[in-house]
Amino acid sequence: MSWSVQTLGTFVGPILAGFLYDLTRSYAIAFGIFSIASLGAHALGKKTAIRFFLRQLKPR
Amino acid sequence: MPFIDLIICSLGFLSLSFVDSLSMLYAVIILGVVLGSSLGHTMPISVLIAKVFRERRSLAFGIFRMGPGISGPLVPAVGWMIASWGWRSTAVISALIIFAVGLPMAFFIYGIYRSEELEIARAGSVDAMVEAARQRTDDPQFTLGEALRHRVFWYFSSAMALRHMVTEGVSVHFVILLVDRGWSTEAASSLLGLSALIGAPARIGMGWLGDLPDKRKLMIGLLGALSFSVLLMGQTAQVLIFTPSMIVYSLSYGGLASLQESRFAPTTSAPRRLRRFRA
Repeated sequence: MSWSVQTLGTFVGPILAGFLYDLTRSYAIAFGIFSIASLGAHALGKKTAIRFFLRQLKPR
Repeated sequence: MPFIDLIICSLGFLSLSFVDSLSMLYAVIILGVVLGSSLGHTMPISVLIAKVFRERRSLAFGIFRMGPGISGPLVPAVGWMIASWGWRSTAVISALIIFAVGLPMAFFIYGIYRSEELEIARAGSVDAMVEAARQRTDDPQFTLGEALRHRVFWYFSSAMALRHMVTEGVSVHFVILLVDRGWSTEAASSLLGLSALIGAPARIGMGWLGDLPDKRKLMIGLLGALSFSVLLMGQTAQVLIFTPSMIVYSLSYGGLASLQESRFAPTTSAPRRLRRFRA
């Protein structure tokens, strides 16, 4: 299931960069968005870690 | 699954040698080579590693993920075969090599799968097996349903989807980016190859590091480095800035590739054997 979600990213990344390059003839915006996306992943990673640090996950 | 993958992939390469039109080429590549390799080369092996290795799981994933990087030197050998014997003969040889190497590996994977099944049968059910595993280890043990109900699962999956979006996007457009900035295609391709080569030892190195401190902190740090390096690569063409950024990007990419599965494995593990990994 996790792989299915991740696979979405592998499709979106190249298409988004290609689309923005065709639009602007530059990769600056596409790579800027990639940088923000990495920060988003960083933030989500922190959120995940905080949940783990504060209270160890238990099966529901 | 590895047997199906092996047959489809081998037949794909074999069919490649008979291709005589563009539409047939697409069909053979997508339905044979790509489908076959996607079915069995990644997910089943990742699951196997997560099940078998516990003590040094990150290192095990690092070694597994190093494969694509270290296979780079084989490319000239394939090129030499194509130049010497033609691409059709090379496709047939590739099919034979894939089948000959893959078959014993598929049997090995099947053996482990069988022992897992026997363990479940002995425990009576999957739930009983999970309960037994919970008692044997400090790692939290979840069934698929339990994992899916946790927000952490979705946070982590989304984070990794964003990471894949970035790394796939950069990989696909890396050469075009450099050519667009005045580099020759050869130089740009070489730098992409260099990036893969830098990433290969990073995969095993980060895998080893991931077993020492808390790998969550390591991943967060790598995602931050990825963000910074991608930003610089997109904004500047100066070699003095671009090259170090590319090196940081390659290291972050390699490290994240080996850490992400090992990070997730303890929380979503199905019943598993607690065999220790002695590297």
